[in-house]
Amino acid sequence: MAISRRKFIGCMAAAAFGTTTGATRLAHAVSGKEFTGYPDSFGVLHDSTLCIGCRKCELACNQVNNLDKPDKPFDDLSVLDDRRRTGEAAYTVVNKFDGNVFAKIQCNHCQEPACASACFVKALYKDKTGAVVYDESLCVGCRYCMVACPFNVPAFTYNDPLTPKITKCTMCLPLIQEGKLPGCVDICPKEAMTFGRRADLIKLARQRIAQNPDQYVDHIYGEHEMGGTAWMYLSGIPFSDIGMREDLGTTSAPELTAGPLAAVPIVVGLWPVLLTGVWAINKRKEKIAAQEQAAAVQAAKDQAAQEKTKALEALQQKLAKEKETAVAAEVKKALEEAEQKAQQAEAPDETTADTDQAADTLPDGSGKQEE
Amino acid sequence: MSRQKYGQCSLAAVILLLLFSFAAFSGAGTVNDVGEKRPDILTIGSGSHKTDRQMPPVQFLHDRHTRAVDGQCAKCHDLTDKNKPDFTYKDTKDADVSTRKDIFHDTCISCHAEKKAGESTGPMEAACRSCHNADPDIGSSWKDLAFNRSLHYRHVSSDAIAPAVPGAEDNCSACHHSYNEASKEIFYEQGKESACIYCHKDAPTELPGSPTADGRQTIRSERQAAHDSCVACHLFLTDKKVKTGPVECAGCHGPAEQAAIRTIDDVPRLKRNQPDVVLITGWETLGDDHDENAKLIAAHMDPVAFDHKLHETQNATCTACHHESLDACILCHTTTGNEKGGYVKLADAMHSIDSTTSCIGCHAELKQSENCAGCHAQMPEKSIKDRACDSCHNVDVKARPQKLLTDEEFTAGLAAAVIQDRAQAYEKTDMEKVPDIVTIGVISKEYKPSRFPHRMVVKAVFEKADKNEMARAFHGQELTLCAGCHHNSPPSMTPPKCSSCHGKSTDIAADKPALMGAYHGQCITCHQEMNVASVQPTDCIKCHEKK
Repeated sequence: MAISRRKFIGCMAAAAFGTTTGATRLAHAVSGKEFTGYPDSFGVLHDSTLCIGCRKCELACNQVNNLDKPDKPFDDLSVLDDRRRTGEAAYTVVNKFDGNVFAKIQCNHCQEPACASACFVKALYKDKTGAVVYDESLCVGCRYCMVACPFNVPAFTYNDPLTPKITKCTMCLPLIQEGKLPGCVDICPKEAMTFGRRADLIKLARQRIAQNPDQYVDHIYGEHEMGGTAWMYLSGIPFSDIGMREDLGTTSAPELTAGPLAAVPIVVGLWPVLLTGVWAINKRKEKIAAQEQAAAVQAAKDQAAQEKTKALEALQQKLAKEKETAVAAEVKKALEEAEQKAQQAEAPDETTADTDQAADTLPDGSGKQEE
Repeated sequence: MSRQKYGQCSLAAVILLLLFSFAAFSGAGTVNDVGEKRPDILTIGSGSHKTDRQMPPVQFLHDRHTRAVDGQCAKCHDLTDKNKPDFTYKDTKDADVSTRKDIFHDTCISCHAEKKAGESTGPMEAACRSCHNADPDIGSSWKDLAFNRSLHYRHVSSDAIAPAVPGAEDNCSACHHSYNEASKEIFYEQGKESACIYCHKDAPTELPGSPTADGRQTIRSERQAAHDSCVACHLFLTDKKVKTGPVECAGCHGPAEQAAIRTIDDVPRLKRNQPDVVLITGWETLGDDHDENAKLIAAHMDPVAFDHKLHETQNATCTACHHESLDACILCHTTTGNEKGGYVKLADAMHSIDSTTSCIGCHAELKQSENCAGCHAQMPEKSIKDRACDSCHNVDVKARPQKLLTDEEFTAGLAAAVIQDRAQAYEKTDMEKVPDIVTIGVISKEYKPSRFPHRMVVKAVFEKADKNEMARAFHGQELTLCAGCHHNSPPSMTPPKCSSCHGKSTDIAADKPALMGAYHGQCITCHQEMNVASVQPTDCIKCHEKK
């Protein structure tokens, strides 16, 4: 595996921080560089101040992509009374806003698409032309892309139960590759859309704003939104008034998620090690405790045994001593008796009294000896 | 799942649902749907109830109360010595906040209580929130009153308004006055009449010098001064049963009432000794030293001949240009700028695109009006350095005798002559030479070629321009108008074809649309800007039939 020692250590450090303090920033620092789009990639500038709401773009889109014919024909402008979104049979729709202002929606072909980032089978990817391309053959139908898209663009052919797929604007990639314009751009009678290199379009947009400061909001929608989009917009009224989200920020979805996602493998790898360590430490603690307990028990046992032996010895010595004393007393008594007998023989009255005294002492000594 | 657990889960779900639905309802509740819109709302109170635990301010409906008391101002207002109402609420003028509060509570509630049974009246005691309503169901429709030339003339020509100076020919002195700092009195100064706003600003300002005899230290705000004068006079005349102006708020400030104010189209010129024409020069005055004068003249642009009289008729009030005084611009806006002129130098005062009081700024705004925007909305406003200076700076004085340049009559004559020439120089175009129907089919694909009624459109544009002095003066000739469509090439009866510049594809670097965008851009944008209702942008077959 081509991973340098430095990067590995970096990853480990990041993961260590990540597990404790939230991985986003540090993990992101090692997760790769910012992607600013393929060089010379294409885009479209939609100048909503020029749009007249004729729905020709919807018609062209329908024809180029061989989509189902809608219930109401494209020249029926009553459709504009409702706010619509893209669907499985309409890769682009034009909406009407207050003050007879119109804005077209379709896939914005993000520089760093959230849908491609969310797709785990790479059924969506950013092409070097600038188009975000969908590969039906890889799609598993999870619809994560629909959830991921900040512009609510991808649709799903729910009406096709057997081979459902995601549908969205292709930026007419096949036409672009032939050197032609996307269908909607080509048909627009007002040239409200300009197809060209994204970098040139930004210059064009800036030029229009600078030359007509009163006609435009001083902002190119899509230049930076969600990390930038290939499809960009100009407007004469605030973008929120033509149904465009102004809360998206300028960070692309993959950039937002790259940090935590990059930390996942490391966290996943690190957790077993950490848990095993904790387990081992606990295990060792238990082992040591058991050993200490055993030692203490042994020590107590030894001490008890020693004390018992000592007591026994003391008792034995005492008994031996008492025995000696008793023997000595008996010997003395016997000697005295013998002496008394000898004296009795000489004076019998005195001898009787002495014999009673000796009898009182003897039972005590004999009692102990029995124990 | 046990029955008990199931029960707990469903209970939790119900609680969550309830919580969310409440959240949704409370969210919807914050949207303030304003019911009635009135021009007579006075806000009493500080409005600081959100931060300092005060009651919300009262939205007082003045007109409703005026009617409730049958127009007797004295019910609520003191009368000054001149029998004019003092427009501060009775006794509250110098009172502190808490006294004012007590006065309002006492008088409002007691008056409400006084009303006879059966009559509808306002809230009484213990109905605090009826008046102190933080979220009242009313909105303001109040509009500033434009006291324009028409309205001014109706006052000037009114017999009911007598001059303050007895025996004066005109009644200007009834309203206009100056202030004498020495005697601390206001007085009428003929020929010095000016707009109220020059002295009476949006908020009261400091009175120059020490306080007046009656202790006043400030110059009243425009609002105060206007009500003191206008409403008091209207009331006075109403009392005398003379037909006069409104006394209720709505009369001057209600949008519908304003629209109904009678206007006079042909207003005679104001008499304020203003010049007919002005030679606008970069130098303030010329002295006696010929060499110095020659240097001054050489160092500045050629003067501009300004048709003052014409501009008077084109603007509602003098303040459209004279925003601070009726003096000549150069008296404040000197060539190098100074503090008095807010460091806006003469060149900027005349040329700033962003200002509506500058020549170019005002003209740029006019170019976006319906009659002009058809062409001009599609032409980016040029920066000053890209403009032809000599379209205005075209009075050649270098060859004139300097002696005469100090003579106002001579310079005025010089300017008048240039203006006269300009008007006569407007060259018409022979309509017969203008192509009638032009068939545009070069990009025809889905639709048949368009038969464009070229002469009809040209005629309509020429007619509109012909009625407009500014258009005639600055276009110089009718042929210039052709550049509305045939742009970026010299004016000519045989301009290049559109396709000589616009091709099949867009030129991004030059922001040059392809042919289809160019045609539709010009036609549709012009129709949109000029509100041509007969040709709707999406009505394709109106211009070219379907194949």
